Amino acid sequence: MLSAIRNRFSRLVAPLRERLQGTPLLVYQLGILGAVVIEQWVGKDFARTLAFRKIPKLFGIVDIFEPFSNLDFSGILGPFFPSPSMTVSNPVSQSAGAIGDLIQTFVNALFYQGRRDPGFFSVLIRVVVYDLVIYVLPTLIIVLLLRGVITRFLRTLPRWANIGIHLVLFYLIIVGWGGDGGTRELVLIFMGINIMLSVSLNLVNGYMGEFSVGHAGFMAVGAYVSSVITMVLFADTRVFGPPLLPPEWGLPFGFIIALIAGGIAAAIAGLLVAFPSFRTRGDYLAIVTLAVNFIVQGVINNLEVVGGPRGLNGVPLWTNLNWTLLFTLISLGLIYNLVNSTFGKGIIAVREDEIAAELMGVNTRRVKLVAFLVSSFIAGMAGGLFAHQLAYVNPGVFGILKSTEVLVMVYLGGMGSISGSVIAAVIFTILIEALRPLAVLKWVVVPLILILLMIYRPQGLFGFRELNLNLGMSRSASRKKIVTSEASDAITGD
Amino acid sequence: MNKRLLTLVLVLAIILPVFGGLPAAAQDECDFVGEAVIGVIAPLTGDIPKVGESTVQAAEMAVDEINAECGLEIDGENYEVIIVVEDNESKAESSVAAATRLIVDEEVIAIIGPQSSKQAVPTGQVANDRETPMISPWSTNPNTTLDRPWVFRVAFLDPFQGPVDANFAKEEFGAETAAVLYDIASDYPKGLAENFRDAAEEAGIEIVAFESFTTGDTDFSSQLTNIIAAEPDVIFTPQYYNEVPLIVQQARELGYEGPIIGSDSWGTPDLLDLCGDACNGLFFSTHYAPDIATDVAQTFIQAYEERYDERPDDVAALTYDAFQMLFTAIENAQSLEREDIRDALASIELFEGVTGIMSFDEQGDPIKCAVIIQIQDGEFTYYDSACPPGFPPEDMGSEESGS
Repeated sequence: MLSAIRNRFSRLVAPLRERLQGTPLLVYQLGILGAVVIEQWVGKDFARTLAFRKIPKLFGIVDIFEPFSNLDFSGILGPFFPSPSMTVSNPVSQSAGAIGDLIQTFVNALFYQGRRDPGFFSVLIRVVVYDLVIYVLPTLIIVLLLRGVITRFLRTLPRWANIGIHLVLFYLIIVGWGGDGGTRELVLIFMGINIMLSVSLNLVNGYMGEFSVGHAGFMAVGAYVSSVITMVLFADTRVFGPPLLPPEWGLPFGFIIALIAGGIAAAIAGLLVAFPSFRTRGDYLAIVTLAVNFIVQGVINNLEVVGGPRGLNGVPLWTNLNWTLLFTLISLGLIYNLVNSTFGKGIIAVREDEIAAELMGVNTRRVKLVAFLVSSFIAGMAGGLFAHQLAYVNPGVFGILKSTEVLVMVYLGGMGSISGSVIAAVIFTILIEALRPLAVLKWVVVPLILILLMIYRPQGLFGFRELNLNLGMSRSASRKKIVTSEASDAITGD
Repeated sequence: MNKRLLTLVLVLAIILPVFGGLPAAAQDECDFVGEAVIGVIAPLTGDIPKVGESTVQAAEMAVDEINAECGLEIDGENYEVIIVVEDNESKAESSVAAATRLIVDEEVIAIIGPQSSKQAVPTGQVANDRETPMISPWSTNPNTTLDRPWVFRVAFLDPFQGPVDANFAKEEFGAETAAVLYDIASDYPKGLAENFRDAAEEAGIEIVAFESFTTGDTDFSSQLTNIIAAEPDVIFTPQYYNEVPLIVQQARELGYEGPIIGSDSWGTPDLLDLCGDACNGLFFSTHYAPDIATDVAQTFIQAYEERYDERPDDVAALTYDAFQMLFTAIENAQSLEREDIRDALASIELFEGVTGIMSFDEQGDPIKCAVIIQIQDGEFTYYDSACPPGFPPEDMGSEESGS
């Protein structure tokens, strides 16, 4: 039945797909920008017309799962392992009763569960209508109208202008869609932080072929160091007392310096992994990274100056969309240029065969050192942004669970792929946000996705490949890029 | 086949929304013109889920009660009260994230919660920075409200509770020496342990052992061995209901026969079931005792027992009080703006709630009495009260009080 629907659907969109073939990215950007403007203009009223209380969150993905927030699975196994406060006479019948209730709640959740809580189908249909009318249709119309003009216009542009115009439009879309100071901004900030984390881990795990499982440790170092710097210098806090410098100096310079200092501190912590990596690799190095994660957590737990296990309070709330965007782009640029440089080929060579690389003249020690330093530097800056977003840091956050989250993003996106890591971070952030109504169940769904991924697509979404963006450049302008990507293909053997 | 399928989908698409029911506008007799959204942060999962359950039950009861009376009346128009509950997993970091989400995303006018100081101290910072009124019902650590004009509380403070416990140990048991066992990773036990130590030393009790563990530990034998070797007259342990039974049972197994006293974190009914006979006869200080209830409390206890078929614990009572305080403030302010609500909360001087009469000092902290409860045959029984000097004032009664 599913394939029948898919066939019908693909037959329906086939002519559209044909018409859109070869449309440059810029046209889509303009289309989306148009949709964003339309949403600003009529989105709220339209949502009200569809009986939403406010504009659906994240294209309605969050709203769709909301009806299932009442599901309670604890009754199924609970009666068999009662706590002392429960008196269970017949666990089997109680459990059966709980399953019955669960089914009932589930059916209610599908259809209707009260004046305030519409059912899943009702929400789904309204969300689809909203997305179609506000996002999909305007985008498509604008794309179809403008594609000819824009394609011709792009051919006349030099390379720098082309990239510039794409970046400007990208910024306008992000700020127009998400700069509301609300959920969207929050999600976008977490997305940026996650992108930094997954891309930096991909440098070690994907490009260099090591297996680091302690990335949250570097994040913790960056978070704490940058927080302490901003708090001591620019904020009046209970922990460190009045600021040493006038608080006005804090933005923008103090923040930049604090984030970079956090990154540098994390990079120094990265040495803890880099040096052992000269002598050991593979599983053994993975254990070392795990140990470093625990060392960092343990040290912070015992530092009473920064609140020990109770955490550090009163970090200034400085992270916003612009800062996140800036540092995410800097990190992406840094990693992109690193892995596409001659030096970066050395990193990849170490992954393919360390001994052969050494024989070919790659200074493997230097390569490993730089890879670990850069990776932990970016993780440290991400930690700094994270701390200044939450206004609170606590060693518990930077545990093995956080490291695992980053690993999930890297393997979801695919090893050795920057665009894969970016897209995976975006998907993962949205997924976590969307599954939030399911509470504990979230931690069943997310690992399940990982298991299915490992079975059916172990190389991830973009394993060792990059997303090819159609920037619509003329041949002469884009030749340089093609050459480099071919070269990297040749080396990765893809 | 395909055609049939398509028809089916189309028919469903038309019918389902009808059955699914678009959320209809309020059709009650009250003519609500809008909504007042209040955020609730509670530990629904994690170490102390019972505390979360009590919070939500009390919150729902308070909200249903006020909506039954046509909600909040502002300038002659009725606003329906809605609560948005966020789970903080009993973790500080999740609590901070939940507060950010409630403030930024749900645009709540105020937050009730979090309960434990471990979460309330950092979350208070966020509420204060983001200029949203927050009332923590249960948190007793002074840092929750200290220098934070947007943060309020309903419970008494640990600098008051510590001396109450120390004096009780001195008077009841004639203690000369005492030992303390507490969780160093959590603000509430750490703060209270230190307050108790200082107060005890002032009262002439020598602290012979001051042992700590970290959240999540379940084996306390090494700390208890040290404590028992120091031969204290009394052990003080300001822990939560999930840890107290383990501590008491392990202390008894290691041969400690003397009294163990605790604090308001003991007062969750699940403690009785988890601890069983081992806790019989022990004492702790807390916010209110159901068996000596005032009229206000009596009404609350009855309604709560009718609705949930269980006795309200101190968390439920304090949460209910927090809501009443907030409602009083909103109606005094005649506004749903965060800033007006904050000002109105700050100007409440005397308030009679389920947990007794309280007045507020300049930090927004209540001054109120504590009670000592003894665990007797699986029940919390009133034993004694302890009030701050000169409290409650004589001229009570005519002032503003909760509905």
